[in-house]
Amino acid sequence: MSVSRTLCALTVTAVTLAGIPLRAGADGVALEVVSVLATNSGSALDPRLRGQRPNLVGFPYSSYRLLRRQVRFVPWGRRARFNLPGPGELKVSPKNREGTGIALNLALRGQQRRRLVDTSLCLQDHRVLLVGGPRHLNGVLIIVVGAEAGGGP
Amino acid sequence: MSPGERVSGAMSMTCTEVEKLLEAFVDGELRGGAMRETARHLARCPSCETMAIRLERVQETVRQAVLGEVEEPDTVALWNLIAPRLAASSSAPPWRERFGGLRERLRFRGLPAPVWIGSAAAAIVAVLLWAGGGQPPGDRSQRFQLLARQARIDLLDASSNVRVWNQPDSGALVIWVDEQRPNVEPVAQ
Repeated sequence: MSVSRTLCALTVTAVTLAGIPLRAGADGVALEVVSVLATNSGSALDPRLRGQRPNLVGFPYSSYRLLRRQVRFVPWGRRARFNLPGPGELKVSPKNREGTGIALNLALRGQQRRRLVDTSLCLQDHRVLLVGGPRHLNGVLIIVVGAEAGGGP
Repeated sequence: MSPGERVSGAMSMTCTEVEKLLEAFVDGELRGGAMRETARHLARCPSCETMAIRLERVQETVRQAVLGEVEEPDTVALWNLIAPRLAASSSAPPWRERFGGLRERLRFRGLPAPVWIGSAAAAIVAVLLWAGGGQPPGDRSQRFQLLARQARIDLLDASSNVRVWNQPDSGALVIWVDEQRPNVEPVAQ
């Protein structure tokens, strides 16, 4: 009797402990989409983009200005739509955890919802992906996509 | 939802806690756990989400107003820069003079230029065919594995010209879309 009670208690403890680390991010992913206008008019890096400097220095532009920053919490398997400056939009859908990475579907639409890119990729947790090229004002948009998840489905 | 009330889930923040962080959140100053928890709360709490959207809109309006004032393109100044260059380029020697000696310069180890240019072209075509072997004609989707420090692309389907590379300083993956040369029709939503 006491053995079965001990086994039962151990099982309950093991199940509870196993569930704890997953709870933080098991339900979804925090997605951050930062829209940056890159131009060659002037020479300036928006102070709010200081943290993005290593990601931006490789581009052939002299000026980087933060236009929009959006953060959404997206449950696994659901899709978030981010309106970009101008007519474009970015749709991001976190699929599942892949080791230390996050599997995502990403779709970029341009003017009149014209399809520009559809991609499936695995982004490392806490890392960023850059999508660039759509023309905006007197420059181009560079979209920084970051994802953070503590766990996965 | 009343302030101080927690949204579902024992680890969520209260509305009061989120309100204190909202400005920093919208400004992009929150990182890590605080950013993630605030975003999670906003996804579940309509009143806080509305507040965040309002803050974002205010910021956006101010930003657009500033951009409109500062970045109005000055086409007159631009033309003044271009015009002298156009005049200079029109006085350049005609192409026959510029490339007249090219045929002779392209002679390589006694072979006439067309022979080794043709050989090089054939080699390039062979390499391209080998690299793209198995790709069905007309299939615009490109399946490949691009291994990078931060991301791996499993599938890329583009209607425009797309380039992919890693940023040298950060290792971040870049997908660059060239909107200039689209080759498909818009897709229906």
